[in-house]
Amino acid sequence: MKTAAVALLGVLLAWSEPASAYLKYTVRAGAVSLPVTWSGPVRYFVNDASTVPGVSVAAFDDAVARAFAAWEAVPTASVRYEPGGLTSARPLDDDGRSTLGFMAAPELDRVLASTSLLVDDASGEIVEADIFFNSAFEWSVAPAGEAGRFDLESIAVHEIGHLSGLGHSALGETEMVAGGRRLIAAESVMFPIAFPPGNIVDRTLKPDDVAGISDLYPDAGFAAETGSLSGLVTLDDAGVFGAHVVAFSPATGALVGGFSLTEDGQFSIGGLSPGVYVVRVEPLDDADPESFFAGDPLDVSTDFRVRFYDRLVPVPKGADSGLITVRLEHK
Amino acid sequence: MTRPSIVLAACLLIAAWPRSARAQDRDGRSAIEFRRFDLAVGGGWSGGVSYGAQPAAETPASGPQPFHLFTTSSRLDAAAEIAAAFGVRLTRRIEAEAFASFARPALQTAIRGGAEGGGDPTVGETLRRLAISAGLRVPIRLRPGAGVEPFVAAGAGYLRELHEGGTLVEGGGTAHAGAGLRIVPAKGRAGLRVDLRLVLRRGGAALDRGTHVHPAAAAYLLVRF
Repeated sequence: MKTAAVALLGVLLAWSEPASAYLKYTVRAGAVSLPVTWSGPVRYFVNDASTVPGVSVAAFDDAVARAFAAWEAVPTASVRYEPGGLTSARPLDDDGRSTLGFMAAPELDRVLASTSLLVDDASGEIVEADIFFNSAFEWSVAPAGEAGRFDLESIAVHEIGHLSGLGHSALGETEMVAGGRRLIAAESVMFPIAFPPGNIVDRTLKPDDVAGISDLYPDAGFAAETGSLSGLVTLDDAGVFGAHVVAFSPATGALVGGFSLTEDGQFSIGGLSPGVYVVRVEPLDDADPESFFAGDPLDVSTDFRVRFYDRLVPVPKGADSGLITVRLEHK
Repeated sequence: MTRPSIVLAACLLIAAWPRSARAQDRDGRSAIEFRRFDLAVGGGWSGGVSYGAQPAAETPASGPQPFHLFTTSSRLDAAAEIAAAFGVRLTRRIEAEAFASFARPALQTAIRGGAEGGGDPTVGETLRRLAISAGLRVPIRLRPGAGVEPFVAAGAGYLRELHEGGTLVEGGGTAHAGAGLRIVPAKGRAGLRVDLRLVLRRGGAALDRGTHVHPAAAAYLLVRF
């Protein structure tokens, strides 16, 4: 079986960006783009050879189990995780085991944790996924969080999103500070910039995360009960790649996003509750596009203004809105 | 009992009672001459309702106040409607009637305070609303032969709102109470009718899932038989 490591993605301390949206990993198989997913239950192991102050092996095991449970509890998704027990194998070893554990990586001074995926590039099936937590940082498993320490469970929830096949969301805001970017706010666990030490809000999934995992692993009723919103993003009558498209429900306040992912500017946001939506398109102009897309970041268009689509868009149950076209203007 | 079944039950009730009504109204003391049925067709105006504000909020990294990417406020605009009513006199004092109306109100969402620009647009769509209801009408007796008959009325029913594109439909319930006038020349069969009502609605395309009250008015051409 031909495999390829397609991603090494982490939660960054200071860096990246505003906006909203879930993003699925994909691999190209000829002309076809395949989502990267597990074909069955995800069996994972916990490394017991490396610990950090304040986090015992048992506490680490419990925290990651709660993080897996957060994704497994999504009622419209069918993804399942099975604990395989303890192992002395290190995360990031290509040993056929999906392992979570601490590793010291002081040179990665902005990376709290990282996930690597080993993928069958013919089918998109994930073969192995490892998560390492950088023991160069201070960690906590306290139920209410702990000042000055990063919450292990919150970061694990984010990394397990990657392990399951989700990329980064752009649903968040940051500001430039000395040495990088500081998070102002976010509305997706999969936003690439972590909340500050002591904060535990990322233990709880947001609508963007729920839509993303449900789109990847839909349960039996998901397709029938939810709808999608799709369309084109254009600038000067040409498609725009990499525009961030946000669907906002004025009924529920839910924010779910996506990106235009083709040269002609096509986007599709699935997993939406039926109802009407406000559509907002914004550029990824204050983040590194490599946080969201593989390949040449110059392909990502950012020379346009934030724009709202000029109609409310009805999203039906079990079907698509029908194509809309959002015409952008240059900055 | 579901709302559609309430409407159906009211219609069955109407069909079952006209015989006794005929007997009771032969005394000739109504303000206008007794007829068992009347059919009214006309047009009117249905008031708008506000669905309130909803921010596009993100969880803040510090502090209790959410970060607002932008805020929205939504409303269902007032709209003209076409309407029809069919009434059956049950007794000298009570009439039953069924209503139907159709309107194309605009659902509007105003976007304000974009944190990253985007202007302050108002975006919207046009709904197609069909409402049916059944109720009772009580004429207020004036001197016989006056030709003008005030009445009070109340009822309940069902509404169906179809969003633009025809792919999303939402149902809801209504109730109404109001008053009006029927103006029919003595011994005449045709006349006018005007209504003023307060309408309570729940569901449909209501973005806040709440219950709302709005005024409505209508004028009809009336035929009695």
